[in-house]
Amino acid sequence: MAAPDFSRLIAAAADTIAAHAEELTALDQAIGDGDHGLNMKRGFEAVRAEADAFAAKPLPEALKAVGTKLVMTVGGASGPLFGTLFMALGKDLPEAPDRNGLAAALGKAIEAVAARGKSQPGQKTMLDVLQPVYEALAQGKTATEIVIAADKAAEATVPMKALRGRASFLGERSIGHMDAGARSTALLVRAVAEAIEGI
Amino acid sequence: MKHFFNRKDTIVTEALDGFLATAGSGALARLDGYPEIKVVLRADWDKTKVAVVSGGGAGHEPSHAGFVGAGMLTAAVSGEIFASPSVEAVLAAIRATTGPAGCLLVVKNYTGDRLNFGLAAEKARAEGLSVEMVIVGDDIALPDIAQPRGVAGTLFVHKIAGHLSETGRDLASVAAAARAAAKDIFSLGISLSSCSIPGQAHEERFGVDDGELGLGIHGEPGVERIALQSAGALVAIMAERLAARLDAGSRYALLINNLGSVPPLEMSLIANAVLASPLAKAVTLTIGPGHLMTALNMNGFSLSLLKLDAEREAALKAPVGPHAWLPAKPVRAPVVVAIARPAIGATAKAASRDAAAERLIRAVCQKLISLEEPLNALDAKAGDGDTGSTVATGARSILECIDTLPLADHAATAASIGDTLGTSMGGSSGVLLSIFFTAASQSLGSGAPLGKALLAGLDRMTFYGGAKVGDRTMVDALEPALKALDAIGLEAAAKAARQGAEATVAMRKAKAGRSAYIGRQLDTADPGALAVAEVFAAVAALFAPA
Repeated sequence: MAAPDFSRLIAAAADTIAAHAEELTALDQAIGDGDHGLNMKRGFEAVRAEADAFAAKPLPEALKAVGTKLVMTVGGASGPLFGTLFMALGKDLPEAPDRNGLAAALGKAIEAVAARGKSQPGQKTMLDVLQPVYEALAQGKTATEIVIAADKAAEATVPMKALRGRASFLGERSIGHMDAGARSTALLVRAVAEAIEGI
Repeated sequence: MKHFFNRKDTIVTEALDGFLATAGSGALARLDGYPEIKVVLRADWDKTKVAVVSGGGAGHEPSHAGFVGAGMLTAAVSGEIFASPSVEAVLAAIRATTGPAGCLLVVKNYTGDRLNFGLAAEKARAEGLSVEMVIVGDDIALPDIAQPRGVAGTLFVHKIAGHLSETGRDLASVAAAARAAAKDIFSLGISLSSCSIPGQAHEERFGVDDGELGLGIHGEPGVERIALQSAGALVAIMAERLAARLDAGSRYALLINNLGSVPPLEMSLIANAVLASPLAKAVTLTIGPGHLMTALNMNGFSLSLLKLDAEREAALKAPVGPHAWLPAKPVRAPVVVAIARPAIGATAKAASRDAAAERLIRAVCQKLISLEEPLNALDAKAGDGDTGSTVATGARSILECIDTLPLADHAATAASIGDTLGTSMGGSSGVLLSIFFTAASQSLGSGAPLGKALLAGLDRMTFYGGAKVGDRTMVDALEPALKALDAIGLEAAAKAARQGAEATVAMRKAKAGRSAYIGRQLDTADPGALAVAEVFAAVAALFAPA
């Protein structure tokens, strides 16, 4: 796979979050507290503001720096959780990663997010998208297939009952709504895949 | 939903600045780190005692900055609305307040708060600071949930930890007491509407006739939809669920928290209902009702219970610096004071007869009763259409008691008429006429002739009522009539009353009474003034030489 300019990846991620901030907030309002869109936007705009400094580092260091920025300065639950994802990705990613290296690092990063949030797939969270994306990546699926898997996985959170996060306080009433974190994860997967593959 | 704000991204800092600017005493300060770091801390803190630090998303005011001060929180860390503060912000608060005595973080059980406060605690420990964390999950809305959220009951932990720190206890014992208390707190919320975030589109998910039970402090939907019913019935449902968590024979403190927009009137009614429920048997201390941990403008309230022992009771009762804290009060039956009896001598005189007085009173009353419909019709053009009925009601009440009046004693009769009108007639005109007759009675009692006594009554009535000639009220007829009565006689009075009433037709605006709210040319006479003119005409006819 081509190694895209890291600042382009940041711009793609920040753009998609900004474009979907209202939608993410609406999803969160249905079963959470309605701050997810704003939180994510605040986080990715903070990252965008320092994109050049991040892009100047080797890829693993750049990912760690983005993660640290999200963890330390964004707040909310999404700051630490998405931040952990990027920090852990950076920790295990080779400087010039191939698909296998990326899949392995993503697998480790999913474990780190699960540990941080004391959660696992099936509980109506971002992990429900990350896990199938990891599997598709490891199975050698195309970028398009991975994006479709991510979207399907986000859709699949609709009938789930939330067991973690604010939606879990609704019990059965959380069923029937897409998890906002799953949706934002799928959006990020699409943005990154498109930036890498040019699809 | 409409909101008072300037810009979405400065709501929290502007609110904190306003809070600090009006906090007054100089006891509070903020860390210099806007907009990322929003920390309010005690200005007088010397780090010799255990720092008690709490916080979370904004939108819960007065939580948490409102509870910073002696005996409660050392610092409060605020995030954006409903979003946990960042690790950096929490870490800044810990560094600013923590000395050798260490720091206790009081955290409500939400993923964001746990992560951000937890990471900050880890980093602070790595810097060599002693930091303990207590997580409060007092909500019982979902009985089987692994991670119950923290709601208003968290304030019990703030108060207990703050008090123990203030009395010089070490970190281990403050943290142990806070953790033990957190396990003994149970809260439940109910709401009739969700909350709306300033600058964010809001769609009310509640139906007209329903509320939600078991909802949190972020507008997240409640566990159950619940049909709107009486406050007593709603409180009974909550009391039953809370009572199931209590230990028989234990004493509890009850915190009654307004989630945002319940009027104080309804909060007091709710408090009354809670203390009339079976829950009350276990409650010996109350805190609130009041705004303690809100969810913006949510039209709901929560009840929190803390199991008491001697140490917790002393901690809850200890005075504190922050004004937002509402002192714990022992539950006591209200004291009822007997109604005072009238002073001796003011009791009603015995009934007596006076044929002329009775004839006069009957004529006046019958005239007023006959005017009920026309006066109502006239009033409907400018006021609320009830002048005729109000006046007729007063007149009927006088006729009903005419046989009990001390008619031979004119001063006592005027006093009795004043009393009767004040209680039976209603409306502002009933009160004004009651003042008129009561004051006239006093004047008669001190020997004034009738004309002067009635003018004295008018003087008091206009003093309290505020109307004067030209204001389009009954005074426009009554004042010239009473002046003419005193100076000339009854016939002149009737003529003056008629002229006064007619003059009100041209008066552009009523300055007193209900008509005052209209403020335009009416082209009709004021019904009160007209009633006065009709009464004087009837009385003049009654006494006219045959």
